[in-house]
Amino acid sequence: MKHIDMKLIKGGLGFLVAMAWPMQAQEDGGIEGEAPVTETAPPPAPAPVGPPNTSRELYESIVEIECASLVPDYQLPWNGGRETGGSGTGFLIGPNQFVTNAHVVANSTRLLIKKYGSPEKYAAKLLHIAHDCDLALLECTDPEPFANAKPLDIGGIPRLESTVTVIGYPLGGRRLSTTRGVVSRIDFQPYSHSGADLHLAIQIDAAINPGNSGGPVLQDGKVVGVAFQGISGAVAQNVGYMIPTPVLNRFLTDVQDGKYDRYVDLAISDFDLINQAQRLALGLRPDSPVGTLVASVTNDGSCDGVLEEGDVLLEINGHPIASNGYVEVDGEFVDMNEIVERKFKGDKVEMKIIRNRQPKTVEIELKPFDAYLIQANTYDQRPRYVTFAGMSFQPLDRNLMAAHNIEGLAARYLYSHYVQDELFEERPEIIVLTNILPDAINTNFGSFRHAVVDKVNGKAIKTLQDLYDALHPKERPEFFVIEFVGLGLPLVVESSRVQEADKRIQDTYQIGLESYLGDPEGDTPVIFN
Amino acid sequence: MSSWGEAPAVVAEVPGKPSAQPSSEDSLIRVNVTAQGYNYYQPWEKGQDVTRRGLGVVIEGGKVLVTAQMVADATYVELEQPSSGEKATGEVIVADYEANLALLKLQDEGSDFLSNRTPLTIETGTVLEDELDVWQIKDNGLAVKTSCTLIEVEVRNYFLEATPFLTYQIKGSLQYHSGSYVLPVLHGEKLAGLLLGYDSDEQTSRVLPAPIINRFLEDLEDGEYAGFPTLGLAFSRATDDQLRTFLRLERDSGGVYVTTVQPNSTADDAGIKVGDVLLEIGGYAIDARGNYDHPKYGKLNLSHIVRGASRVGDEIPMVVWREGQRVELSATMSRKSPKDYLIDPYLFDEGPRFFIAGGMVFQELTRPYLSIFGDKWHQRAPMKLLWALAHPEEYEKEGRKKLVFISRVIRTPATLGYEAVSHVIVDKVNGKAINSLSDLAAAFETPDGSMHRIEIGEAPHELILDVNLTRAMDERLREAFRMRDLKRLD
Repeated sequence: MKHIDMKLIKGGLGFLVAMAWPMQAQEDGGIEGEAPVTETAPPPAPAPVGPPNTSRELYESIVEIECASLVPDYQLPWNGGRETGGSGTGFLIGPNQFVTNAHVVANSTRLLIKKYGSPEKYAAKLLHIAHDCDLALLECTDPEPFANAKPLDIGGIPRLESTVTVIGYPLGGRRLSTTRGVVSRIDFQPYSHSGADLHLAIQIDAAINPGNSGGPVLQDGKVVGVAFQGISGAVAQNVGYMIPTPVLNRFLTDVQDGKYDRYVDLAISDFDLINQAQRLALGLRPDSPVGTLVASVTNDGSCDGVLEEGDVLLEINGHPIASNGYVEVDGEFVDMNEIVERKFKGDKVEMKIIRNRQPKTVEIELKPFDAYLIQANTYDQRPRYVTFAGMSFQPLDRNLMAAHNIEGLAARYLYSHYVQDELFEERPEIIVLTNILPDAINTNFGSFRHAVVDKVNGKAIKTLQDLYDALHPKERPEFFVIEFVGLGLPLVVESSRVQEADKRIQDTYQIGLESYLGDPEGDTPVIFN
Repeated sequence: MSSWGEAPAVVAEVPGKPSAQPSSEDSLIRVNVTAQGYNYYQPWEKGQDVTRRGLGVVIEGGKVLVTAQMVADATYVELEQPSSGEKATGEVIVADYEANLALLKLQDEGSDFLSNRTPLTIETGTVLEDELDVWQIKDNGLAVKTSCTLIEVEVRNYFLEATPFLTYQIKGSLQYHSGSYVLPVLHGEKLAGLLLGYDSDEQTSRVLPAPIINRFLEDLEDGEYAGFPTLGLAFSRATDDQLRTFLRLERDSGGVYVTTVQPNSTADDAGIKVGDVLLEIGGYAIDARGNYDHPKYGKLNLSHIVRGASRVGDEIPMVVWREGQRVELSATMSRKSPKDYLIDPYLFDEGPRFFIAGGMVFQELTRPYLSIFGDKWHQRAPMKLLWALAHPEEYEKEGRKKLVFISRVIRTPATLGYEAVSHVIVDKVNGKAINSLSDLAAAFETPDGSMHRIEIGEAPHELILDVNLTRAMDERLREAFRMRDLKRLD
C-alpha cells in the first residue's frame, strides 16, 4: 500500500539558496531527474493561465511563506535543536486568514509572509496547525497589507480528466509560478507529513515542486485543492498530490471553536469479503457485492462496545458498503472512511450490520483515536526524556525510531504491534534506554542500549513520568534496579554514586536540563516575532 | 558460507615444503557429495543441487570421517581413490550438525575398496605452538602438505548459530586446490582435526579439533549416538561493580549471571534459577566473563565444559551464588535435540513439514524458514515470527509443540480474497487447537459442514475455505505444481 517513497515538497531555504539558484533552467531536468513542465508567469503582464479570475487580483491573494524552524534533536534531546528554514505558498481564504500546509510551518520559530510583486515581508502568526491532514491557518500580525486582497472561494471536487492550475512559489526562481495539469485520480493516500494518516487526496499530472506546498490548485477561479506532496524517484513522473476541499473544509470547520480536535476514527480494521465461502459462513449472499468484515475493533476506540469482530458492515449513513469497503460519495467510489472523515468529535454515524446472521442497526459516536500517534511524526513538541547516571530514557515513537536506528527486538516489536495488539493498554508509553553517555558509573551498561524499561525497583514503568518518579523517590534506596523487557540481566546503579556522577556528566556533556517530561498544556513554541 | 569450499580464495604461494611421497596420504580418501536442500518458499520442491568435494580421513573399521556440513542434505555420497580415481558409493552412518562431524561407510560393506588405506589414529594431545600439517591432494593425485602452527584454542560456532564448540586456530598460508571443502589436519602421523575454513587475509584457518572428534567417535562405540549435552541456560557477564555489590559478590570472585533457564533442561533439572550467579562447573571456577582456565589451552568459554568435555548422563557438580550464599548443585547432563524445540534451530536431510489446503500453505516454523529473508533475516523477517523465536515459552505454555503458520497463499478460486494473508500463526482449525502440523492435518479431516474454519492469531481472526472447492483445488494444485504430495508430515 505504501511502497512509494512519498516526498514532502518543501522549498528549504538552504535548498533555494544552495541549489535552486544555480540551477539555471528546470527544463534541464529540475531536481532528481524530474522534468517539470513549468510555465512561469512573470508580472507585470501575466499570461492568462486559465479561465476567468486568473489575474493580478487573484495573485495578490497568493503569498509566499517563509518559515524559520527549530528541528528537535531526538538523539541528544536536551539540546535545543537544529535551526533551519524553508518556504512554501499560502493563500487567503478569509479576512487576514491564510491557509498553507502544516509541513511548511511545522516547528516554526519565525514566520514571514511575502506579498505578490512586493519585496516586503510581513510577520505572521500561526493560528492553527493540523499535522494529521497537513494544513495550517496563519494571520498577519498587521492586517493592513492585505486589507484589500480578496479571499479565494473554495470549490468542490474536480472531475477526473478536468484541467486544474497550480499556483505558487516553487524552486527555480523568485517569482510566482503556475503550472497546469489534469486530475488523474481521486483516492485515499498516505499523508507523508504525519506518516501515519490516510485521507482523501487528488492526484494531478501538474508538476508540484519544492515551494509549491500550501499553494492553491484552481479550477474556474475557485480553490479545488491545496498542493502538498509529490513522488520522488525515477519510477513515477508527473505525479503531484493536492489536499481536496472536503479535507480543507473539515479543517476550517474544526478550528472554528478556537482549537483543532484532530480527525475522528472508527478504530477498527476491515477485511474485504470476497471469498464466497467466507460470505456464506457469515450469512451473506455469495453473489452480492455488498458487505465488508470487521476484522478487529480496538479497545477504547469509537466502535468499542458497539461493533464486534466478525460483524459485517452493510451500510454507513445510508451508503451501501461494497465488499472491498468502498462507498459511493458524490459520484466517486472511495473508502467508507470518507464518510467518517467529514465528521467531528461527538458526531454520530449509523451503520447497518449483520451480526450472527441477524441484521442490526447501530449508532457510533465518533472520537479521535490517540494510540496510532506513536507511529506518526510529531512536530511542535520538544522531545521528552529523563537522564539518569548518564543514561537517557525516551518514550518510543516514530521520531525516536528515525533518530536512533533501534535494532533491539523488544522495542521494534512493541512499536510495530502497539496498535494491532493493543499494547497501549498495558504500556501507554514504551520507555527506551536510548543512549549512554560514557562515565565511570555506566561503563558496563553498553548491552542495555535500546532495551525497553520494564520495572524499576519492582515497580512497573508505564509512562515516562513513572520512570522519573521511580528514579526520584522520597527515600533513596541503596540501589536502583532497572529491569528490561526480554532481558534477564538487571541494570544496577548504586544510589550513593548517582548524584556526583550526574553532576559530572551534566558538566561534561552540557546537559542543561536533566529531564523534560513535557508540558501538560502543550509546548509553547519559541517565537521570535 | 565462510568455509573454504565451493568458492575459495586462491592462495598465491606454498610456503610449506610440499613433499611428493608422504606416507599419511594413504589414510586419505576423496569424498564427493551431491546435495540438494529444500525450497522453504515452495516447500514441496527441492532447490538447486550442489556438489562438494573434500578429503575424508579413513579411521579404524573402514569408516571415513568428514564434517557434517559436507554431507548436509546429501543426495549422493561417493568415495574416490586419490591416485587411481576409482569410485565407490558411500553412505552416512551418522551426522551431528552441531558438532559438525559425520561418519561414512561404503554402501557395499563387503567391498575391499578401502583396504589399501591405512586407518589414522586421533591425537588429542596437541598443545599451543605445535606444528600441524594441512593435507591436500592435487588433481593429479599428488598429496601436498602445508605446515601450520596452532596459535589459539577457543570456543566458537562451527557452522550453526548459537552452538559454540572447541576450535583450533592455526596459522600458515594455504594454496587452493580443488576439492578442499574439508581437509585433514595432522599432527605427525595422527589426526589433529578437520579444517573448517581458511582466511586468506589473516592466513589463519579454523580447525575442528581432535578432542571433539574423539568424543564423537567414543559416543558411537555402543552403536547408538547420543550427541553432545546441552546446558539449557543463557548468561550475561557479571563484570559490573554495582551489580556485584548488589548481589553481595566479592569483586574478584568471578561468576556469570544466569538470564534464562530452559524448562526441562540440564540446568533446570539441576535446580539453577534465573538470577543465580554461576561460580563453578565441574570443579572449574568461572570468571565474570564466563571463561575458565583450561589446563592445556588457557582461557576457554564455560560452554566447553558441557558441550565438549562431558557426555550425556555425566554428573557434574556446579556451584551458584544465590541470595548471598554459595549453593552446591549437581547436574545430570542431558540433551535437547532440535526436534524438541518449538522452532527447530536447524533442519537437514529432510524437508520442512507442510500442508496445503486449497492453496493455503501451512508450515511449522523453523529457523531455516526465517533465513529465507536473507542475511539480515534478524531484521527483515516478520516481527511476530521473530518474537516467537525469541520467546518460545509464550507458545509452549499453551501446549504447543510446534508453531504452525500460514506461510503463503497460492491464488486459487478457493483462496480468493485471502491473497494478502501470510506469516500468520494458526490457533485452531475446525475448532481444534493446533499444536503441530499433524494436528492440523487431522483437523482438516473433520470440517464444519461444508466449511473449513481456520482461526488465526490476528485480524480477521477467521478464514473460511469451502470443503468441495478446496478438494477440487488440491487436485489442480498437485497437477499444476507437479507436487508429489500436498503435505509432508514426517
